[in-house]
Amino acid sequence: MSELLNELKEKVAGVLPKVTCFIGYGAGFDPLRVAPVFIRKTEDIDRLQWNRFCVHNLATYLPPHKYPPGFLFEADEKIGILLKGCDSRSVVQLLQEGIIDRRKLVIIGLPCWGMIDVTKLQGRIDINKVNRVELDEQTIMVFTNQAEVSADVSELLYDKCKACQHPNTLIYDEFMGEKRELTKDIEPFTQVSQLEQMGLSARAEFWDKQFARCIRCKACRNVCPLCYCQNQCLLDTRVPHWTKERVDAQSNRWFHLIRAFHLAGRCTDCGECARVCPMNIPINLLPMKMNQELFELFNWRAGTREGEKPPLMSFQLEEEKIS
Amino acid sequence: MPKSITQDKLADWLNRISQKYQLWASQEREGISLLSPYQPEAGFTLERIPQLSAKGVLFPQSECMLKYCYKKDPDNPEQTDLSLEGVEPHLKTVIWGIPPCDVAGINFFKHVFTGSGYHDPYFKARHSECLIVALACQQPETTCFCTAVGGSPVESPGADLLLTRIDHEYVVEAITPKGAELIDEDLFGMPEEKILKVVEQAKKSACKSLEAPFKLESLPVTADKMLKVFESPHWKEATRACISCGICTFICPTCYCFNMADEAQGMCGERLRCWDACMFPGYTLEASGHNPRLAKFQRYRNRLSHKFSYLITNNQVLGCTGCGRCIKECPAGIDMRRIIAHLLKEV
Amino acid sequence: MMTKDHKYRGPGGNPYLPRLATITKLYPETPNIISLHVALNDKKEMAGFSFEPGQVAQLSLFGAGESTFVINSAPKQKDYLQFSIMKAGEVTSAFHELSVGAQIGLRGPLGNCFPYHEFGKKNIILIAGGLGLAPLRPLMFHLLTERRKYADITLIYGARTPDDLCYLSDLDDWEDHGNVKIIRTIDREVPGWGYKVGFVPTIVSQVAPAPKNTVAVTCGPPIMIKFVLVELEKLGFEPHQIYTTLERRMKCGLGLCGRCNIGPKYVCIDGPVFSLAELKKLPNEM
Repeated sequence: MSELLNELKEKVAGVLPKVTCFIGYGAGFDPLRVAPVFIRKTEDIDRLQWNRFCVHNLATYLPPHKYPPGFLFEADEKIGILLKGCDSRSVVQLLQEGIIDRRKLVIIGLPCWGMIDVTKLQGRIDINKVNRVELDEQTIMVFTNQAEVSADVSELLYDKCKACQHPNTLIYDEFMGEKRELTKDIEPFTQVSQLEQMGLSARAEFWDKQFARCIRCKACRNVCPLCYCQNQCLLDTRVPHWTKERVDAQSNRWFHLIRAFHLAGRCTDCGECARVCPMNIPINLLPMKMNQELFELFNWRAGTREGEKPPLMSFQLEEEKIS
Repeated sequence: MPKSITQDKLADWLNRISQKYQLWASQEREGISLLSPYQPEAGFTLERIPQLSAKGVLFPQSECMLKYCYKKDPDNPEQTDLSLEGVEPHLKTVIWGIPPCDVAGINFFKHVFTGSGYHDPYFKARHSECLIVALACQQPETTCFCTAVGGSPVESPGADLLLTRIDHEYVVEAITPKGAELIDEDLFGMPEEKILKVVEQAKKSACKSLEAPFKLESLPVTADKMLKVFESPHWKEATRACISCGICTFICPTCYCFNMADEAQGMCGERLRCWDACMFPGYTLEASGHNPRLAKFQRYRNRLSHKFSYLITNNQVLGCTGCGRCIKECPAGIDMRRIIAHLLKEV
Repeated sequence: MMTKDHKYRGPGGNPYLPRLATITKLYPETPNIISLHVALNDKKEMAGFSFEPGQVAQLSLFGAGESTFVINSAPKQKDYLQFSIMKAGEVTSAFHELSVGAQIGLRGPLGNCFPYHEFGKKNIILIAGGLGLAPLRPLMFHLLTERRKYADITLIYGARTPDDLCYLSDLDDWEDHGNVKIIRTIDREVPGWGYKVGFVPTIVSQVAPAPKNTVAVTCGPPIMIKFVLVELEKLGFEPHQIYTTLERRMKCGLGLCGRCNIGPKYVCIDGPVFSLAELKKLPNEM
């Protein structure tokens, strides 16, 4: 990890003359978290971090529709960015949708061994009181003033990391470290399949409970690199009046389902929507279900094959699996 | 004199309260602690600070302000009559087991919604019928900073009762006569003298464990300083990662911005008041297309300036209770403590 | 000036509740602006309704919502209140669909007013663009009821095209009977237009009112106000001699919902009328 961090800093030092800003990870508010950083000056390179907590999908800052020129970057700025394998899928998809300009991007790629979902420590230790962390490749030790706990890193990985099929950045200008080979076949969409085994009424009850908690903070939408409709979003318009003003399970369900449909074949399973949800709603499962459908129908996994056209952006007179 | 109650009797106490009042207590729901209407079968938790602040009890996320109905005159279809009906909440409520920073949030609401300006009748009606049972916070989280904004983790002015946990026992101090009525029960005993000493010590060490991320001078000086840094480039620098979501505002114990919007069902309907967030780009968007706070740094600047300057000027109160939720839950890791500390150093 | 003590109480003391009102007259002002006469259904309340020039009210069309409009009738008019509504968003568009007899809600008066009692013996120059004349209309009516108290009154009024000028008959009336000098302008030359051509700020610099013993009051689109203020300062007007009335997105009108602030001031209760001297003390967030 620390070798990779040193290499990253060297790479960024090399990239910085070519770009106006480099987006990477820096320190967060405690030893378990990091935060996106925007490096504009050589002296800030030392703020960069690379560790097992760098889960944020930095691609969300790229679509100019989300951040109009002048508000995050100027129109003519060339941006450098650190992308994990999963995050690079978002960039591939955004390129396929014609939303971002590859010529204005310098991508540093790397192998990723999975990120630690700190919420999986909750129950073993109060994750909001942690003041020290010791971490090696297999084990994490976490300390508070009152307690300490050690755990296997592999147990704590995000579900998306456990099911990772793209550990190496797919599209990059520079790659650092050695590419990671996947050793076992992984069944994708296992979370969706588990949910589908529940039966209709149990599933309805499951989702009603989830949607009842939603406070409509719009974080799931705003953090999503592919959700770039902004003020035209069905959550923000009064004319037409798609979503009811009252925040309740029924109207929340309406929003989340439509959003999932809008992401069909576009969602790259980065899981950010679920990560940021302050109410712990596994909201990524809805777009993931759409992804499963698209995979079965078109053998399509968004953002994995640069240069191809997404199936819902094209059509054929005869579709093999649709009659 | 304080009383005490053992852990195993808390459920009985809650059951009794819930017979007379609408009772809100924290419930463990899908990995988070949420203040919810108490249901005996769902249990309760005092283990963590509730995910959302207690403001939602007195200032619900969506509430009906009025109902209206247009009615056509059958004899004269050209003529449509309109009737209006105000909706006033009347509920005797107990909010149970909330941390002092959330009580401070309710005190704040009282200041702003029933202070020198217009009064908010909905909040006022709820607040006047509400009792608050606070729980002293003995092991503050890494994001806590209540002492830096004039609060305390272990004292709770504005509450009616204060609980302090010592092992399996809770020492209960009545702060108001109404609070004393809540513990006029056979479930409570008298704490031993040595327990009271332990309480004092626990309170002291809780305060000590909190570090101040910044030092505020008097409120007027703070207000003035924050106004002076309005043009600081740091606002833009520090908020680049912001994704303009509403998490920080919705989970905040003091953020009170709201929207008023009508929801029609045929000829009748209601006017709702719903939480809104000054961090949403559409918040200040005018019909003409003009938006005085189009950039996210402008919105963030307004949010913090409101809390640390404008509210002091207008209501003589600070708009932050130091609960740390906005730091803990920010998807982009924005830490307002660092930003305030940085800005205060600029003047 | 009106202070916060003049509060709208609302039915049952609830300031969020509107009073019921009826549209008694409705006519097009320009292709996208209508003017309404609105009378409170309670005749006693209507007769007792008093407001000062510059104050606003919230009009409700239930189902669509509520929006803020300046009361633009004469303060002494006790039969109705006049509002002019430009079609822009959901609420304003819904108002354009209404006809006479429609039932609506009204909360007001809200906000502060023009400090006309400080204008005595002074020259007054009013500068408006498009529907920006609406807040100045009740002020003009009021000034004309006590015309002798004031020195010269001038109105510079512009719009994009002749069709976009509001209150045309009032303009003639003020000119003919009110001893008011009126300078009309449109943005671009149109055949048959006998008045000035050019943007309002440019006309202000051409007319070049002398700042001595004069107050200027301006209202219009934000961009117009911005440049008019620049021109007035160039002419030597001091910030305390200049007043403007601001528009912001508002919801509650009570200083509670948080939306319309400029720094610590709320346009809904501390405004909408501000002197440039007051605005200069506020953070630059127009």
